[in-house]
Amino acid sequence: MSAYPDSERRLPSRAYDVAVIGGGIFGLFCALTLADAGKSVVVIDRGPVWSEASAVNAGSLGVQNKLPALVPYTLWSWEIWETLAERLGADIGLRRDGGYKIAMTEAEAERLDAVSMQQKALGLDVRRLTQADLRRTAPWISSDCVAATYSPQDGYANPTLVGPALRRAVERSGVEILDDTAVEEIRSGDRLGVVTRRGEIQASKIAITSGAWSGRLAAMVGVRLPISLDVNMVSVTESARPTIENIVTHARGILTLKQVANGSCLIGGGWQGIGTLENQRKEVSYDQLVHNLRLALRVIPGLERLNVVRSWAGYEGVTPDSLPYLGLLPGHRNIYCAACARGGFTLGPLMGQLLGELISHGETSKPIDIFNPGRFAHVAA
Amino acid sequence: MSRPVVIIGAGPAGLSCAWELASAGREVVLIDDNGMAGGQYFRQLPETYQVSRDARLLRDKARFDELAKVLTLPGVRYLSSTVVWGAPGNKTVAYAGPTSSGRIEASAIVIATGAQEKSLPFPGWTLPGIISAGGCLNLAKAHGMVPTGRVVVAGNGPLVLVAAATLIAAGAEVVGVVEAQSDIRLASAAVSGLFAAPGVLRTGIGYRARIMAARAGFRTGWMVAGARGKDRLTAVGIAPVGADGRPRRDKQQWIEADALVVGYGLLPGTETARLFGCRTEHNPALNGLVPWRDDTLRTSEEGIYAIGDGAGIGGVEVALLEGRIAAHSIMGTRAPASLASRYRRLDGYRRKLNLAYRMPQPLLAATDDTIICRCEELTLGRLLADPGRGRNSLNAVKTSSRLGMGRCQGRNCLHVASSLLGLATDDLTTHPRARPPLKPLAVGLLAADKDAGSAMEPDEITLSE
Ligand SMILES: Cc1cc2nc3c(=O)[nH]c(=O)nc-3n(C[C@H](O)[C@H](O)[C@H](O)COP(=O)(O)OP(=O)(O)OC[C@H]3O[C@@H](n4cnc5c(N)ncnc54)[C@H](O)[C@@H]3O)c2cc1C
Repeated sequence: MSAYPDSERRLPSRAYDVAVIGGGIFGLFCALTLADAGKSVVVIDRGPVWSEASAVNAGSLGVQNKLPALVPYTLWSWEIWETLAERLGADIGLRRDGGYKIAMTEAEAERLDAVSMQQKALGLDVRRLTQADLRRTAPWISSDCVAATYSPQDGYANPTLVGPALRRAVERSGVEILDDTAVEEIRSGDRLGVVTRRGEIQASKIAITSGAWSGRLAAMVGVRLPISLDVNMVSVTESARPTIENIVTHARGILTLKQVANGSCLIGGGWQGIGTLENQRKEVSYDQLVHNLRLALRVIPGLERLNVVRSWAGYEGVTPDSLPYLGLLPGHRNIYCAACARGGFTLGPLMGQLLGELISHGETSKPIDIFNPGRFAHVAA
Repeated sequence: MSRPVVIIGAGPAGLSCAWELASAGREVVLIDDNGMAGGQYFRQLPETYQVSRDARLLRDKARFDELAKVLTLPGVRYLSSTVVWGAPGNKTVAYAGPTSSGRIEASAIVIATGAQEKSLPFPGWTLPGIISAGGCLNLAKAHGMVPTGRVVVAGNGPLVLVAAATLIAAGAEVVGVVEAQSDIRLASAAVSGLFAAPGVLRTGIGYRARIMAARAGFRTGWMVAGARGKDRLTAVGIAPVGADGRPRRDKQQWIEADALVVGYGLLPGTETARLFGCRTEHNPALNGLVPWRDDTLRTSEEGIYAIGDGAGIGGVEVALLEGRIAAHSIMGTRAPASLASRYRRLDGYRRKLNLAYRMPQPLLAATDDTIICRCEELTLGRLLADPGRGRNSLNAVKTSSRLGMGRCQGRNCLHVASSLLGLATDDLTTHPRARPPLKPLAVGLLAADKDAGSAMEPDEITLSE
């Protein structure tokens, strides 16, 4: 028996303006933008929508941990985040209390300096703190941390609250959502359509927002979209007395930590679990979990006695230059893609919206040239 | 060096398995997250406590002392207060505890992790003064603590009798004992027990006699419908069980009480077996989801055995026998014929008993404002209104409401929530996920893992530069 009674029904034969393949944060924001522009839209997902990276990520909305090229986009995306709770009419666990990016060695401290200079030039509010500053403002951070930068612009949201609220908004705007309906084939050419086991869906345009799977969808229409797979791990502790007021990241990007509204701490940092798209495994690596926790403990010694209640892993697609793909697929007039941003939860609202703009108006409110999905087309496979 | 047999759980099943192996000269590592060996049934008072004669009886101390000698045998390494939190490789356990955290490669693994209690939420069930039967027995056995004032014991299953008789023996004032199953169904099990398991039956009759002698008032076919009280319990509402498994509130009666002990059955705890990849099956005669086992008590996985209540509810006698049988399977020796025949009889009987106690409909007593998930404070009304419900899957409700996402990871709520929402109760989604860490475990203890492989730092450049 399928988990979704509806999913056994065959599809009504009807044509949509746009079929969005993949209902994570990229896909749902794209759908919302298209619906607002008056398009008829269907979102098709192989699982329940919002069950992959967008649902299982650590929720950091960091500005300090983004690639320089993505800093402006991060700030634009934050504009969407700032008003999202109101727009969705729901609590999404959003906080913007700032964050510390810490260094444990002199080399890392130098790196902090270099990166923060760049970030300032890009308009970020980043302050360099000495060890003494840090002791005063965040005594819960270990004195082993030799330096830190602080930005009041870092924050986080709760993915498990964002998802259901966003889904409701998308459905309210008239978008049809098909859960548990994997796209098996894309028919390009004159009559564009997607084939699923429940039947074929006609659409004038197609948006591929399939996260780590986007390369597979692009391959269905003959496009090579290089994507490698990360299997990121996150752990959550039981709730504790509120102590950690800010998100904490690391000069080398190997730790993210925050204490969320219910008092539990989320510990991540891109340590790798085990699995591939083919074997569909997403498992915790015991070794790397231990190292992730050791690092967390070195940075915040007060975590020692706090119980970890759960650890998990999720798929994140990564492009060769770590910039997202966003735009028309090379060689196609009506098949688009938006996928794979480092820090894609932070950037997702903007990326989805920009794709929606592009599909409905043919242009975007922000430049997207550097995200051209064809940029690696010439590279030999 | 040869690899040891790792036994997870030092209750009756684990101890008897260790005994059989160690006395044949095999290396054994016995791991248990409790401070003291014995499991639930043989839970003892700390050495430093004064013990009265009657209290000794309750803990079956003489038998335990004999069994616990295994801990001193050469070849047995006992890690107390230590949690097995994962399965990092084939026949390998990851453990963490105050003395050490690391990994052990085993020649065979025996999972003897016992049962967990089923909960039955009813209006008022979170009031102070209400305690689970298992928890109450723990306090009585390990700390000599019994509830004061008038006590009502209610539930479904043999544990109701055990808890009531234990509390009476320990001096509590038990004013009512309420079993949900009807007497007619229980009587049939008693008759078959006369032949199959006279010893077990005698114990059961003894328990009931104690309850009668205490004039506690024993009712069958009734269940808890609610609890009343301002800051703590003052009265327990009981009602006959309706055909739909719900209390007939039109016939509800109130019993004034200071404490309520509830035990609505036991479920085999299968997370450990599932984490090791063991296939499971649903078997009502064993009280729910259990690891599949062959006649040697081996699971679907080579070298991995499951015994005791975690492999099917059966109580102490079955657990003791299964420990010995699994040991023989591991050593490739033949179990004595008497052992095998005794096991066949008792195994047959516990299946009958489980089925006799099984309610025709799952018991449900919650109303809209009853809290179902205590960790996340979710009421039945909130769950019924959850948008995830429309998609007819417990997982969808979990993601959208956070049901079962708190400290207990769904151990207490998923099963009952599934019945209350009209969803399937016999599939895997109603059980806590088998993921490391298997139990909540301190960051410091996990980080102390001395056998962790080398670190592979995440690819950093992509994030910071
Ligand atoms: C563990 C983890 C922690 C992270 N932490 C953070 C963080 O703290 N901050 C941050 O900013 N980012 C974080 N990220 C990254 C972020 O989660 C992702 O970049 C972002 O969610 C990607 O969104 P998406 O919509 O592109 O992909 P997804 O959410 O994965 O959605 C893609 C969807 O496509 C569907 N799909 C795939 N194939 C098909 C098909 N054939 N037919 C139909 N549907 C299909 C999938 O089922 C899925 O629902 C983290 C990622 C992970 C895995």
